[in-house]
Amino acid sequence: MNVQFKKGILELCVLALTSNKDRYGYELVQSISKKIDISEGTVYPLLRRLTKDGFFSTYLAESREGPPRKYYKITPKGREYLHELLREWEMFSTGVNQLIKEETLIHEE
Amino acid sequence: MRNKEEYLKELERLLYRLPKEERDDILYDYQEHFTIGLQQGLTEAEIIQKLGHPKAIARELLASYHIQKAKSDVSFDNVLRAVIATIGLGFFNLVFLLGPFLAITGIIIALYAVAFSLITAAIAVLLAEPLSGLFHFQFSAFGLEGISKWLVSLFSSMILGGLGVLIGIGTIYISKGFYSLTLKYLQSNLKMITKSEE
Repeated sequence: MNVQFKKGILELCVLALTSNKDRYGYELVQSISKKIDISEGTVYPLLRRLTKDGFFSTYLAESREGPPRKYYKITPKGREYLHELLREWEMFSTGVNQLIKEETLIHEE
Repeated sequence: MRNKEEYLKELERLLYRLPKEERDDILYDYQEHFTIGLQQGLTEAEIIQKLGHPKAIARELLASYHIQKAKSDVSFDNVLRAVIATIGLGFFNLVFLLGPFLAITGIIIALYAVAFSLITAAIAVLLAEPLSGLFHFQFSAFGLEGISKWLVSLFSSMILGGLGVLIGIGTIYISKGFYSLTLKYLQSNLKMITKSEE
């Protein structure tokens, strides 16, 4: 996929992934990289930025195996931002889908 | 960079410009990433390969740091540093971003210079003319010529000075707006996540 195309989409993904459940970094990275082709290392800077902007709060929690993990919890501000991104994404994807549908129909006739 | 230790060392080296506290916090995230990855049965080499090059990570973090810093302390220095750090991400070529940035900065400097010279001129007129005006006033029969000369110089000084102050204040607003626009633009481009080019 075109790299520019991923602009903003990763933000939407991490916010959506945390909307029902707090998650730790590794978990977020894996969930995304399973479905989208990314350099895993670049997700952490994104998480930092969203935390600094007040969309996440973080806390450390013990894990059964090994050292404590840093969890990301979405804030009310983050939820608001998620809804804004979702609206944008829906408009964008419906638009593209309609466009493709119309165009391919014309060519098939 | 074939193992975890080398990878983290390289990342730490690349982030030397950040405050130690922030750098340690960042390294902790990657440390954690390695720890969990190893627990899941991956090798260090596999984890490194998936993470991508530390350079790509460092660029992202540095650009974000400089923009944040410039936002909390707006100065030409900090904004320029943020512009350069964002160019380092490879989103822009030098001419595309740095060129217009420096050109507009040049215009702003020129506006300040205009304001400064207008105010200087106003002061010069006020200092030079009233003396000769008063001189005329004393020695002319009716004094009208002297008074009118004095008033003319007073008014032109006020117009020059007022214009200078207005342009000066306007330019302060323009430069503030320009810097915050630049930072906003840089920030919106940070949302772009790239695959490391190596």
